[in-house]
Amino acid sequence: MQVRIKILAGGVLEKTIEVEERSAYSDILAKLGINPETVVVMVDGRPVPIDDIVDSSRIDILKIVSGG
Amino acid sequence: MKCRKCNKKAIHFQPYSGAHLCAPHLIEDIERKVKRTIRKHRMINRGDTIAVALSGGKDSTVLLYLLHKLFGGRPDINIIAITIDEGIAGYREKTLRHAKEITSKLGIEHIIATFKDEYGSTLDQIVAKGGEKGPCSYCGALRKHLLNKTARENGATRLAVGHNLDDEAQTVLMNMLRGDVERMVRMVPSSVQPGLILRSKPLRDIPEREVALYAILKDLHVDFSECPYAYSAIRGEVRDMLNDFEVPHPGTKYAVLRSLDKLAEPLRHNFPQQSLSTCSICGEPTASDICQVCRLLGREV
Repeated sequence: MQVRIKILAGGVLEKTIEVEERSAYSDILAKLGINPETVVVMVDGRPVPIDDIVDSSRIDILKIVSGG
Repeated sequence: MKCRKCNKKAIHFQPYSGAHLCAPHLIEDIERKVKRTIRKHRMINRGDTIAVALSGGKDSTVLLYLLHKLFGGRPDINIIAITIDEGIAGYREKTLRHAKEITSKLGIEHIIATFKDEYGSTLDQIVAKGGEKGPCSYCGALRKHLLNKTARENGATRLAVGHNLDDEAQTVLMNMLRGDVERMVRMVPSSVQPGLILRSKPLRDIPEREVALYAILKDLHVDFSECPYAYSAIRGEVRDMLNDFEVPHPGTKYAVLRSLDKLAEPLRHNFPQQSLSTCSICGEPTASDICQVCRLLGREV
């Protein structure tokens, strides 16, 4: 299935990727080379567990780097 | 995925505990851990005025919100917020706005101190002059110095800072990689020193991701932008290394912090705290004749 991804890290980066059926959000992060410790994955403005099965065609990935 | 505690829809997976949690139970879990940390390290006592170092980023905003929630109703505890405006164009204006927003929302006294007023120049100006050290060396020393001074001048008995589990685990490793055991041991403060307000880190047991989740779930308006100077810091490399290790080995960050706690107590006797005197130029506490800040600013002539 096709998933539209929005990566929010200061700016916004959008891309569409092909995801296999029954993939978890962590699989998408692995595909993008993003460490799950550094982000929160959101669907419709709500966080989702990283090991949940992807069931949305749009997801947001919020980078949570330290400001300080 | 269902919440381990109530079977409602989970919003978070904790790899280190194996638990899935819904929003209310994640919030409860975080607040329970923070209370436990505060109790265990006796971070807050009757009669304290707690100054919260509030940058306006996610960690300090969550810290202020949590301390207000847990202790705001106590008549014997006073909470104030201090923001240091270093003068970092394009970054600090934004977080300063968030800091003002949260303090006015919670009704907390907010003190803003600037590098410009205290040192005569902004961090941007200091960096532009091209000092021998990197921006983070200047910023770190100057900010600590001004935070401590401002907290003391406003009657604070404690200075609470927003360092989370990731920050602390990174600092432990950085000190080890440098071979600086003395500095590592000093991460756990022991005794009160004249002129120095005792620092505490109530979020030290909360992973960075969960601090961010707390901010999102509580609708705290924080932005997740990074300091423009952060790129130069070696911390980034250690952060990546720890994160790369945490994923296949969940709980590593907690293990690093627990190692520190176990080592700090027995090792403290080998590294007694230096007794402090006052800087002959600015009068702030220092272990030598002239403090690090006055030296960095080239005030000694």
